[in-house]
Amino acid sequence: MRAGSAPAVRIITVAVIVGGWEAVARSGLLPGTVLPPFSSVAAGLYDLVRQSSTWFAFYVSAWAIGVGLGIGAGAGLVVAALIGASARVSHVFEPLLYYVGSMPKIIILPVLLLYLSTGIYSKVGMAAVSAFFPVAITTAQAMREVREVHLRAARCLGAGRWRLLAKVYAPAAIGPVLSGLRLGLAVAVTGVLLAETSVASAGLGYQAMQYYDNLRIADMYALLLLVLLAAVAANSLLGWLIRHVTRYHQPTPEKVFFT
Amino acid sequence: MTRAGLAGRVRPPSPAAAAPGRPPLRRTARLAAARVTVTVALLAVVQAGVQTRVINPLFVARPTTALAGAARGLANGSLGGPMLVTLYEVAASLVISGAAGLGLGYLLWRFNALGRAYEPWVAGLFAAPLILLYPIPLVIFGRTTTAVIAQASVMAVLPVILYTRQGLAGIEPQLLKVAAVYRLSRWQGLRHVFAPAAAPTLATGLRLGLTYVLVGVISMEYLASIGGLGKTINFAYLQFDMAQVYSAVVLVFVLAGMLLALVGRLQWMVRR
Amino acid sequence: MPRSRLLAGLGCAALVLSAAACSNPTATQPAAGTTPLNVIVPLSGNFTSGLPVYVALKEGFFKKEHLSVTVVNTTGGATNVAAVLAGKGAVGVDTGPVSVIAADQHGANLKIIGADTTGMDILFFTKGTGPIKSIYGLAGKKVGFSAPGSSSEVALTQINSDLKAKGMPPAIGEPIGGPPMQLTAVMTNQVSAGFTAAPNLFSQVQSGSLRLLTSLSSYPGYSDVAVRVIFASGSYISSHPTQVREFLTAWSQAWAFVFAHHDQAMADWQKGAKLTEPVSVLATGYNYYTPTTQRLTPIDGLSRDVSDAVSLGVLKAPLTSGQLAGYVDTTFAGPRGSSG
Repeated sequence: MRAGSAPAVRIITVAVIVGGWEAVARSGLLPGTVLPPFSSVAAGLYDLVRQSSTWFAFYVSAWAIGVGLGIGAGAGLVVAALIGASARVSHVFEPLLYYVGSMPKIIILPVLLLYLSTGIYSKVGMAAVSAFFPVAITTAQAMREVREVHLRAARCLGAGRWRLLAKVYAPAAIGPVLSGLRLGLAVAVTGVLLAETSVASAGLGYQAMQYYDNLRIADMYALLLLVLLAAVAANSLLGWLIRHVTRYHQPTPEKVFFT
Repeated sequence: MTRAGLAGRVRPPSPAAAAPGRPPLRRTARLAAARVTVTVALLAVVQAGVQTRVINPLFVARPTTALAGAARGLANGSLGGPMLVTLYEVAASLVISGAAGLGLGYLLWRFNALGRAYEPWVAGLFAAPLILLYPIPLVIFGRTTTAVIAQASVMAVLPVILYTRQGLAGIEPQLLKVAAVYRLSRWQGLRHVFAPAAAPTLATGLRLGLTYVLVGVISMEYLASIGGLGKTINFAYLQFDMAQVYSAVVLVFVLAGMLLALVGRLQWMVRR
Repeated sequence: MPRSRLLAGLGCAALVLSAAACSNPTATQPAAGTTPLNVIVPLSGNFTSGLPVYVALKEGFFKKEHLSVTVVNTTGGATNVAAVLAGKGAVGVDTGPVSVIAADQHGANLKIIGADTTGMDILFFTKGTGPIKSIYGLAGKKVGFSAPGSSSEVALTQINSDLKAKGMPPAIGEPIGGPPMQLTAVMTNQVSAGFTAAPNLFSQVQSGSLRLLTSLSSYPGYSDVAVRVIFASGSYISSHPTQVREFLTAWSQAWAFVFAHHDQAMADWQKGAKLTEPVSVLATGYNYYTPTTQRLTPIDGLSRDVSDAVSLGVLKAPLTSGQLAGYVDTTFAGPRGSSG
């Protein structure tokens, strides 16, 4: 296939999905409370973006996600730096991080509510706890996999501990760290939105539940679509950043980033 | 190759690391012991916290109570049954997402236009809160374990696709030429050249897929109150039976631990 | 783009973001002289909780009592309890007493301070075009309720005793959630029947796409039982008795207003809670609720609620009257309590 046909493939796919959606919705196969036609959802989306309440909800959720991600990622970096410094320590702790990270964080929402109350801070907590694990794990892994030859070369040239950190570890780790941040962002978004559907008085998840409770299903889908587009956009931005920052890296089999 | 680390000098290669084959049993046992010690220490801190009411016992159960409850629940089947249901769902989701992910990832690599068109979308979907769409599988499959498997499979297939495509794309061009020179058929090329070359990345992708399967299964069970351990956790929480909540959580950890160790072993075998 | 410029750009972005991050977007300054209070309302579209709260907000009853109220929505049942326990100042409404008692049994120190709804108001419904015409058609079928410990689960238990009395197998309960989720589940055949309470889903009832299987007279044993209650944490009650009394005063005034001024109350509720149902549908709630059912005191039939908790497996053994009395505090409801 020719190189330029990727956009064509995308356009065709979108057309098929939209067409199929509209057809299935209008066929009566599923009730309107489950799958409204794409046209209704599109109309809802158009209305939504013109309402300030939508953007306020966006701001609330984004604030919780951003602050939580900052705290969680920061903690993750610190812990990973401590763990990754020694191979032995990292061998002990990394699997533990992996196991605890596989637990869905929705389960600790009641504990977060108890200590951080029902407002926005419990959502910040959810984002922080969710984002901590991917960042810690990928960073620790990255520190472990710094190429031995770079370390030896740097030491030969007389690099001390801090120089090593700044000139060898940090540039090597920045790609994986950003990748970890990307994963962390995804789970932080999930955590915050789930928490907002459970106990909240503001935010995107709360707004989605309000639409659902009022049986404004098309509006709910429109909001979820908006969330999806925002997540994709943020993800693309981070992807661009990763590609830019790691463009000078030598490719190795394990260095896989989602580009 | 040694790992000197930030603090150490360059040490001569140790015999254990240089030899091929499995790491010595002593080292594995020592690592396991270290992990157990750390875990026990952390749990002891939590136990002390709950007992002195520094941590509110209404929301966190004592580790000893949770562990005892988990053992009891396994023995009399009250937790063992749900654990088997969850295990079934995880296994099924892993098989489906693994197979579909490998297949779709291969297609995206084989047909470059498809790959370039769809990969950003797959990456974007991976970043989206897909769990919020959990009512949709419920509508399609009813309130059954199939709905849980569907949700978890969709969530987990994305990283497998991405890693598969990247793994295949990362194969050195010389290997592709080798396959062409030997006039290997597509299937032979795949089997003898491409798959082994891409295997480490694919294995990493499958391990990540397992993580997302676990999260997807437990989350879906918890939110929709169907299936195994996630449903148990939800019910127990709604009745404020925190001991039961944490007993079930313990079993989720056990399940996750077993499966992650299994896949980790697979990954290690493939990396040789 | 040279590295240094990229890093500088990132640095600036980080500064801007941290500046924005300093301001919590949900932080509102309560009006001078008022105390903030979170009111935990499971569903703003509920006649028995959303209505009085939004009327009180719109008509200024909370302001008159020096309260600055934030409405917090939850998924009902135990999440209400979790939200009240979490709150730095929260009152929960429209919650099944079984959930409150269960939490108390585990040391939560919650107190029931008033009745929300007395008399079983749960209405089970099925597809209008479906074959089920009465509750006897539910034998052996899946029926939705909201969550363990809720009034809807208690109602389903009652239905199952009726079925058992006729020698039929019980209906299988599925914990699905509130009326909107019940509608989806019924319409997509996940369950044969779901529950609602007036006026939720009454547009569909009126149009015939849903058929009601029960009515208010389906549960004679519950006509004097408080099926949902108002509660707060014991520590909040001790530290802020004035606020608790103020809340209950405003609550009673709201109900008095609701029963005296139908149109205005419906309009306040619809506007405040941003409901999409027309006022005519919302007003069907008046056919189901009266000042008697919405009375704050006396809180009747708690012993019945306790035996329900036992039969649902939430309590291992019935409470003594002394224990039960410890979970109730009616001093705030007082003589001003009864509404209408």
